Amino acid sequence: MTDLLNIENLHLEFDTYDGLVKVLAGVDLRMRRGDVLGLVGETGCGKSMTALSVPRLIPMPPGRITAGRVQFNGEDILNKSESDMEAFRARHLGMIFQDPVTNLNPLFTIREQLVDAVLYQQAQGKKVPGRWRGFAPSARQLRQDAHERAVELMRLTGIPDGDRRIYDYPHQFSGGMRQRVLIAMALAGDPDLLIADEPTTALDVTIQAQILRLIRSLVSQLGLTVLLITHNLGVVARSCERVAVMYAGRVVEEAPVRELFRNPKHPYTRGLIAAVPQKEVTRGGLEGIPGMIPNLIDPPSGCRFHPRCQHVMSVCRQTVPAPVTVGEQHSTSCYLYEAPK
Amino acid sequence: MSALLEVDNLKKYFPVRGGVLNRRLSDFRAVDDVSFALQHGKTLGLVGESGSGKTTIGKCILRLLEPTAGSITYAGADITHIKARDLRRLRSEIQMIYQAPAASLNGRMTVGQIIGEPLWIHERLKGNAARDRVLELMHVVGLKEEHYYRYPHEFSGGQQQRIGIARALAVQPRLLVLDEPTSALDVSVQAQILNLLQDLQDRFDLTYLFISHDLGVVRYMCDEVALLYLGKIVEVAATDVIFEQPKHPYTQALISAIPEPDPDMQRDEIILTGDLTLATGQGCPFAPRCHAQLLDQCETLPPPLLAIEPRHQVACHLHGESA
Ligand SMILES: Nc1ncnc2c1ncn2[C@@H]1O[C@H](COP(=O)(O)OP(=O)(O)O)[C@@H](O)[C@H]1O
Ligand SMILES: Nc1ncnc2c1ncn2[C@@H]1O[C@H](COP(=O)(O)OP(=O)(O)O)[C@@H](O)[C@H]1O
Ligand code: SF4
Ligand SMILES: [Mg+2]
Ligand SMILES: [Mg+2]
Repeated sequence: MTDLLNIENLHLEFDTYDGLVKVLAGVDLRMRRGDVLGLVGETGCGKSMTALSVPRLIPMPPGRITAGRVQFNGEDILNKSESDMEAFRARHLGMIFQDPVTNLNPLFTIREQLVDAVLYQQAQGKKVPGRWRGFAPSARQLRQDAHERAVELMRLTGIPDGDRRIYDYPHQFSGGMRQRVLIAMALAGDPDLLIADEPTTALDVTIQAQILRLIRSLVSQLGLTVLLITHNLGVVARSCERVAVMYAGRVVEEAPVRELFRNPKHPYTRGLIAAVPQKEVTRGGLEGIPGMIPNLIDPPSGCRFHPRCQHVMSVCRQTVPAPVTVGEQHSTSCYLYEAPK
Repeated sequence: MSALLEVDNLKKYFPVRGGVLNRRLSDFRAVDDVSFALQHGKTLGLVGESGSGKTTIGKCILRLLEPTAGSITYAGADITHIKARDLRRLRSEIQMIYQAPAASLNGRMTVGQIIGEPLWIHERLKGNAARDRVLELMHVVGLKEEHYYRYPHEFSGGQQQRIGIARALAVQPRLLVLDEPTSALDVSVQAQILNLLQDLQDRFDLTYLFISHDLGVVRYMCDEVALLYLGKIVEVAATDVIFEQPKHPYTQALISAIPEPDPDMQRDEIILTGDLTLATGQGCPFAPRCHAQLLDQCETLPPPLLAIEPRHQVACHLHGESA
């Protein structure tokens, strides 16, 4: 089976006043249909840029992809024309981002925005409702269908009283409900891949729990494929089947979720897990990772984690470690696990 | 053992204005009859979702906000209505650390000036004496000497928080109100700052009021925890009691919602419906979201905060005298 998404050796740079920022330095990421993959790592490690390379929404310039490729369903995305890209996004991708406030227009009702999203998907050729096949439906009929679909999407995303509340404005919804509306919009075109970038970070824990449950139920109901980006390991543990851990522009470890938490290999992954104040940790027992994330204008040579690593060896400073298999579907890029040559 | 800080029946109401004359239409009860005591050298966690009144309580204690009612006692003295001229002395006893380090540091001052300013204000310390103290404080919080002439924007969030902590410590306070001190930080840096705060507490005999919405962090930092819901304390007890035997349905739900990095953790996840806005103004404020079997009085009578054990209080009809 071909992968749904295959990101290979992706390199991305940003041209800034201070210099060239080497944001992604060889990202590899593959997803199959039905995967729920968590992409974790701390602020600035390149999670959002990796995700935005799929819809090709990275601002260029100042951004520049200097190497690598992104394939979707076996098709190369990076050399598509802008108009093909627009249709591609509408047909295949749904996206939700961290902050529901900035992503809904306060001046329009939910109906206007959701119906627009549905109509836009249809205009991009995604869906022609079955009963109109062979006829050219009137604009009014299309709008009526889109309205029904919008209410259906609200029901699907757990917004009560959709047929009434669809006439409300965003400010009449709570943060959690607005996030549901955004999920509904992302689902409008029946996407092959849902990209959720920190979808619960701005929400309170009880609302976060609601949204994570919703995403899980959408996965099982619709068989969605989800790329879930988060800095929160707990969110990954609750929602994902596989995890990729990023550090400073590279994926440093990848494994099924249980395996990753039970048997973390990369010193960064281990440090990240040990830094979460868990139940067993008593006063004074929490371990941080010394130092801080590197400046990507002048990133560390070799393994980019080496200045913070307790196990650093001389080879770590010289060359970039390649991914090695350390278990079933489990790989990591670290010289500790490389068989001696 | 007497408490270093005692808060009794604290209320803070904000006016809700409207109409053409912008008249006071009603009150918004941001803090509604909150009482707690904080023992010397201990850490009390104040937990709740955003809007539950945590920051407002902190600001009332520092007298950055005027309480509507109730009293605040610090080291045996009533500071509720302390005069403006005594405020400076109070501020050398109680300091606040904020969530967004960047916003709370003056961007036009160097690190040395930021940390040195309170030394001048409170002790008229300047010149080499001030500089030595600043360098000592910088060392204590893990900043380097070469950071002295740099500006806050040149630092990462974690380093900025260290600057804020050094500045707060400059006046040798006894009580720190820490308002979500690590919420804006990445987890690896959060761990560094939490450990620093614990070290400082032991070293300088500090007392902490630790405000957070992260129960995992609170479990690590606090001796006692008070849970707030819409301006009221719904449960307060020693940390292990809160986590092992939570009684209030809200506490139970919050604990079950902690995103623990452990996919195998067996737990009965309690997912609450709705959000804070559902409160009706009658009965228990949590009733519209409650997952327990409700009693008749849940929707009519506000439950009082009652002790079910000597140091364990709960505001829930299921655990009241009537239950
Ligand atoms: N427009 C830009 N110009 C320069 N640098 C950028 C730009 N956008 C992002 N970056 C840099 O790219 C890096 C990765 O960013 P991002 O993918 O947003 O990280 P994450 O989502 O993991 O927090 C960061 O160091 C950020 O500073
Ligand atoms: N100056 C103010 N005027 C009006 N309402 C306020 C003011 N400050 C806070 N509030 C309201 O009081 C409630 C509690 O706020 P806050 O103490 O900041 O909560 P928390 O820190 O728990 O998130 C919120 O609903 C907030 O909107
Ligand atoms: S490659 Fe070397 S420096 Fe990098 S994580 Fe492994 S041991 Fe540490
Ligand atoms: Mg991001
Ligand atoms: Mg607050």
